[in-house]
Amino acid sequence: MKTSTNPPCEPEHDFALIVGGVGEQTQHVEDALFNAGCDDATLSIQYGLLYMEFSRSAPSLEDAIIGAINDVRNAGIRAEVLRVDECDLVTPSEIARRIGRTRQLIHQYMNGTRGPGGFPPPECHLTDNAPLWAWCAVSYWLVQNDLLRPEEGWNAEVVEAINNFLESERQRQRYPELVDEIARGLTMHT
Amino acid sequence: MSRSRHPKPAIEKAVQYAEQLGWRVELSGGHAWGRLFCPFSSRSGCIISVWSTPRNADNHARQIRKVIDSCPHRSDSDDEQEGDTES
Repeated sequence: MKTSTNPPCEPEHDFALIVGGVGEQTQHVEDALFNAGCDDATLSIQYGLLYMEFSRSAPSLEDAIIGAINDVRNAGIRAEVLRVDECDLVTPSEIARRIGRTRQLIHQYMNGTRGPGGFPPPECHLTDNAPLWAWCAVSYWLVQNDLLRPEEGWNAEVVEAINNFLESERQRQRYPELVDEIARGLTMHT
Repeated sequence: MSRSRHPKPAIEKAVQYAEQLGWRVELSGGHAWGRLFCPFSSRSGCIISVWSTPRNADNHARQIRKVIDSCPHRSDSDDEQEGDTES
């Protein structure tokens, strides 16, 4: 995920969408997506899924991604945007890669021997030898401690919110009763 | 080179880069100039659509190279062929 500013134009945002429901990369699919406004994306098939790499000019990453999802949905080919290709669960190595620091430094942040302390705890796989951290939580901590630019932290939140929304929509389509049941059960206990 | 060249030089270079890595080029119609097929030419192989007139030719060329570089089959194709021989 990358944003480059090109004044006086709107900034250009790089991101990728993973799209299901499109069996083959036919001329019909290509033309429909091109005509729907996806001429700023490169289409490829990866693991049988349509993968769309965008470089889109828009006021914000949020505007760019939402616009692209709507373009795909309006292409009339029954394409289903599954997610933005960004994973919120990360290893210490991935955290290091994303902020261009060493893995050793990240471990030092985690155990408090470097930095201001209070590094967020892992999100899951707590009992494994390989716990995972939520990038949103980590990037928030990094921004709070001036170790990451605020817009990068915000973009992590935007991508995660969009992916959560897409997943929730999909789950509601598959098992609406389950989603309602869980919502009722959790609301009762609040 | 027997195929026709892509009219945008940056994209033509990206297509040539794909060919150097063993990708196959098939020309097509409509908005797509052609498609690139990775060396792992089975149903799960990678396919890239190359636009004739993308919104930004330089961005499209950069994206094509990125997909080529991230192709998961680059080092697998030899293993797959070995596996086929054994079975």
